[in-house]
Order: sequence, then C-alpha cells, then structure tokens
Amino acid sequence: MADLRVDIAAEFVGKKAFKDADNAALRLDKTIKKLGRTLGVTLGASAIIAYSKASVKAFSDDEAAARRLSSAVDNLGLSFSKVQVATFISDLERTASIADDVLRPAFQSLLNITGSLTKSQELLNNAIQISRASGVDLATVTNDLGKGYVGITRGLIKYNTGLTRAELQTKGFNEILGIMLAKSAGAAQDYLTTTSFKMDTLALASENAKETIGKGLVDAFARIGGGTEAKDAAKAIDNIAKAVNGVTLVLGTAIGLVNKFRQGYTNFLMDPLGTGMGGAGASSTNRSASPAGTAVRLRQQREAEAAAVKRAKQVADLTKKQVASTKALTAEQKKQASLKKSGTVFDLEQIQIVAALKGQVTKEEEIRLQAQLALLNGNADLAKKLTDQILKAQDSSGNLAKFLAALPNARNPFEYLDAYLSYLAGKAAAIAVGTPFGQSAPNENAAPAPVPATNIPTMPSDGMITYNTRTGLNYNPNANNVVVELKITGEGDVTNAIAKGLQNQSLSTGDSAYINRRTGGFAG
Amino acid sequence: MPTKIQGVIAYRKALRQFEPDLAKETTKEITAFLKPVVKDARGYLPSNAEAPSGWLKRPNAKGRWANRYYDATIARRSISYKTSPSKANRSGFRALASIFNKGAAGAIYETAGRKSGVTGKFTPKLGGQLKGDKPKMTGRAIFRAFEEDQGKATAGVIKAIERSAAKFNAKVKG
Repeated sequence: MADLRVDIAAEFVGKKAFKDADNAALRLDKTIKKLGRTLGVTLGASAIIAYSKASVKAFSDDEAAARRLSSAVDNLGLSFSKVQVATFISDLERTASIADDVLRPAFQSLLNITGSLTKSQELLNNAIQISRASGVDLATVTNDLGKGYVGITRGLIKYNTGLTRAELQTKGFNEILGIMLAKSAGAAQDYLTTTSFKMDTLALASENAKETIGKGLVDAFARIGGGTEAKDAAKAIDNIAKAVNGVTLVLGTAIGLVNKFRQGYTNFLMDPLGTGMGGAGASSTNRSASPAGTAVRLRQQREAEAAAVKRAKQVADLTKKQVASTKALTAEQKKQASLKKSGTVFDLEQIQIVAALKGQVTKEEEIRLQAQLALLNGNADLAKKLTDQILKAQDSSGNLAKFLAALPNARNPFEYLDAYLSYLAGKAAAIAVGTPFGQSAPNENAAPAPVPATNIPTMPSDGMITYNTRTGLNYNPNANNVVVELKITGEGDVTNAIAKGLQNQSLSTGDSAYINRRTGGFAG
Repeated sequence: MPTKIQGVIAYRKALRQFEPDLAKETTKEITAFLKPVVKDARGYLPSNAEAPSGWLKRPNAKGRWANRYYDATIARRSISYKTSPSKANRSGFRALASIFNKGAAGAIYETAGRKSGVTGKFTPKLGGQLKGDKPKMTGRAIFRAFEEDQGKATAGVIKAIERSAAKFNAKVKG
C-alpha cells in the first residue's frame, strides 16, 4: 500500500549511502597510510611536503644556533676566531658523531664561563669523554664542568668520583677533573666501536642531510615564491601543498636547484668576492701567506687567553682564601670550646661545692654536693644516678612516714549536721508509715506548729503571698486590687454625656453608627 | 513540496531534555496547526450512505473480500497526524510533522483514479474531488485538505518552531 502521508517541514539529514561511502573512503585512506609507513615509503605529495617542512625547520634551527654562538664569540672579543670555532665544532661533530645542534650550545656556555677558546675546547672534549663514560647527556656534563670551573663543585658528585662532599668542596677543580678523567679514560674511544656510535653517525648524517635540503629548499622555494627570504619559501610551500598534483614536478625542480645552490654556496665560500681567485688556485702576491686577519685573530686569542688565565687565577685564589677562612673558623671554634672548658675551673659555684666536699660532710651531704656538681658540669648520667641515691636514702630513713603517721585526724566540718539529718530522716519515715513520731499528729483545732526560727530576716509582706501550715505557700495576685463598680441606670447626665460623645465621634469619623434617636440624623 | 530546514530535529531533542515544558508547548502549537487539516480531511470522506453500496460491509461475504469494505468510522479514525519526526526517506529527508491516512479503504478513496483518471465503474461512484499540486500529492482526503489549506499548516509549524527557538534562546541567554 502506498504510504499516504503529507510531510510538513522536512529536514535533510543526509543519505545513508553517502555516509557509507565516506566511511569506506576514510578506512581506505587510513589503511594506505599505514601501509606506506610500514614500508617506509613516502607515498603521496603530502609526505614530501611534510619532509620539506621538517627540513626547512631543521635548517632554520641550526642557523639560529650558529648565529647565537657567533654572537657569543663576538661578545668575548674573539670575532676573528669565528672560523676556528666553526671548524672545531664541525670537526668534533664528525669525529664524535654528536650533532652540532648539541655541540654549539655546550661550547657557547663553556666559552662564556671560561672566556678562553682553548680552555673551552679542552673542557668540551673532556665533557664528551665524561658523558660517554657516565651516560649523562653532554649538556648536563658541560653545565656541571662549567660550574665546577668557577668553584661550584656540588653537581660533580653525580659522576661517582669517590670523593666526599667535603672533599669536593675543598679540592680544586683541576684535581677533581683529573680524577674524573682518570676514571673515564678510554670511554670515548671505546664508544667509537659500538653500534650505538654507528647509529649516531647515521642519524647525524640524516639530520645534516635534512638541514642541507632545508637550506636548499628555503632558497629554492623562496625563488619560486618570487622572493629571497624564508617567508617567501613558506608561502611557496603552502601553495604547493594546495596544488598537490604538481608537487612532484616542483620538488624535482627544487632538488635540481639544491644542487645548483650547493655548488653556488661552495663557490661563494671559496671566493666570497667573486674575483675568481679563491682557494688553492690563488696567485701569489707580496702579502703574507697567512689569511687576512690572522694577526688580529692571534692577538685577540692571546688577550683572551691572558684574561682567562687571570680569571682562573683569581678563582683559584678565591677558593684558597675560602678554604683558609673555613679552616680558621674551625680552629677558632675549637679554641672557644677549649676556653669554655677551662673557664669551668674558675666557676665560683663549682669551687664552693668542691671546697664543701673537701670538708667534714656526711655521706648524704656528699652525695647531694656531688649531684649538684654533676648538674653544673652538664653530666646528666651522673646527676641522675646521684639523685636516685638521694631519693632512696630519703625513703629508707622512714622519717617521713613517721611524721605522716603522727599527724592527727582531720575534723569533719559538717559533723554538727549529722544529728539534724538523722532527726529529719526519722520524721520522714514516720510520715511514710503513718505512725506518730514521738508525739501525736496535730488535729484541725490544734495549734499549728510554730515556724522554725531562722536567722533569715523577716521581709515586709504585701499580702499577696501567705503561708498556711497545712497547705503551704499561697499566692493571690488580686489581694491588693481595689474594685470600683460603675453603674449607669437612668437618663441622667452621665448617659447624655456618653451619647453626646459618641455622636460627636460619629460626625468626626463619618461613622453612621451613632445617630440621634429622635431626629434620625446625626447628633449636633 | 516539503519545506527544507536544518537542525530542528536536534533542537527539539535538546528541548525535550533541557526545557521539557517548552517542548510540550511547542508540540501543542504544532498540533494546533495540524488539527484543522485533519478535521477537513476527515470531512471529505463519504459517509456509509454516500459510499458505493457494493463497497460496504456485507455480512455474508466470504474469502478475500470479507474484509475489503468501506466503513466511514474506520476510515475517519485512520486519518491522523503526528508531531514527532519521521524516519528518513530514500532521499534523506525527515519530516518534522506529518498528516497520514493509514486505513486501507481510506487509501483507496484517497487515491482512486489519480493515475488512470476518474473512469470505469467504481471510481466515478466515489465522488469527492482529487486535488493536489503534483501526482503523488493528489488525493480526495488528506491531500485535498492540505492543498486547500494553502500552506498555512506548514507555515504555522515553522513559525511555532521559530517562536520556540526564540524563547529557548532568550532563556539560555538570560
């Protein structure tokens, strides 16, 4: 049968078939992505773009770290040594397989602390050795060594040098470093033979490749974006991401540009001025064979080294002074303690006790004096022992017990009440059983028992409260009331006055309750 | 043509949960717009006396024709309305409210002759008028009533929902 229905205001909720298709497509997409990841195959343009972005980021991070180190070198007055620093970092990266991203900040911190290029290089090498031996990461080791260099050796305890905390504080940094290096000797060389080192090397190569590609991409994409800066590159990458179909072609072009750029960059390094005379092939002149600026660089280095040595000497002197002052303080404390001990000899109180002990005293008095002396000298054990003896002696004498036994009984202050209470109890019992108690029960005509005489003063009575020997106390609130009875019986003056008053009230309030009986109107 | 709107089903569901009183009020308002159409549609059904005599219930009928008869009471009772959303149809639409004719005899009266025309021996005897803006929305009872209502019911339902939404928003905001 046909569905006879009028639908009013329908809402489109989507077709089930559409949803099914969507879900199926999503599942397929997920499966393909998973497969791609498993096989390590970068499927699709999105993966290429992601890698490109990561490369650009790696390059930009690396560049920023290099700039920071360069600034630090400049600030230390070693601007002409930048190339040497870069070479050192690069060589160390290659030989130790530690990324320059890690080496640069470590070297920068050491350089800031020591102020010496050679000392920083030496400490960084030492830090690598200690790091490899201890398993602590290089940044931490560098930080600890830097602090140790300026006398803060507390952080070095974690390297298990076998030195106590006190020894770490008193020994010089070089001495501690020597111990640490002796304990970690060969660790760096041994590490070079491990698989971990090989993995590090591979990872490092991959990271460097990423950085290189990143640099190439930045330049290449910047050119594609119509500019020369990184923001142009970012814009270009985003545009490429949108145009997914064309990304492969663009990337291919970009890789070509990378090679071009790398070649150009190498040429630039060889011959920055573009004279065509860079590198080993340069023709001879009358100038010094050393590169330009060598003299200035060497002079800067000499000055920096001298300053560093001076600073190191200052730190060493300061440490020495600190140790000396600590020793002096300890000696002074010892001296004070000794003096205090000697001072007790001249304590008058003690002298008196000692003198008393030497005199004719009883055994008990002797113990008491000895206890007092022990208390003055702070000998708690002896003082307790002697005090116990005194107490025992007091107990064994028995004088105290005798004294207590001889004490008379304390008198009962309420003794006189006993007789009275007994009398009352007997009376109450007699009332309960209904038998006369000593005397016959009073009848109606009998004279009431007199109120017992007390010392309570008699208060003047107003008649409202009365006492009856049979019923007890009575209260009459109306005892003092004066009753005035008013009776209006005729048509006299009082009645008229009241009527007039009521009529006047009616007129003033407008209430018609009170009207003149005769006229029917209000009374006037 | 049903009016297409979005989010009303979800709104009414939320309304039932958070503002049950307002939900009831909304339903009542929608009902008020549907009832006249239903009443008209029921009025278009013929009484037993007006219906073809052979179509009425015959006490001695046997077999398959024993239950195929017209009864005005049953047919009228079968025309009703509903304010809850329907299931989605093949095109993915869910009606917010509907008027339906679910009786067998009522359906025959509703649709007879709308495809082949009012011809033959039976259809011309039914009487009434086939009305509707398109073939599937043409009929003698509910479709005619809806057609003659000229969209007032639809507009009223939407207005009722709009008013309810405004009230709900006012309550929520402030």
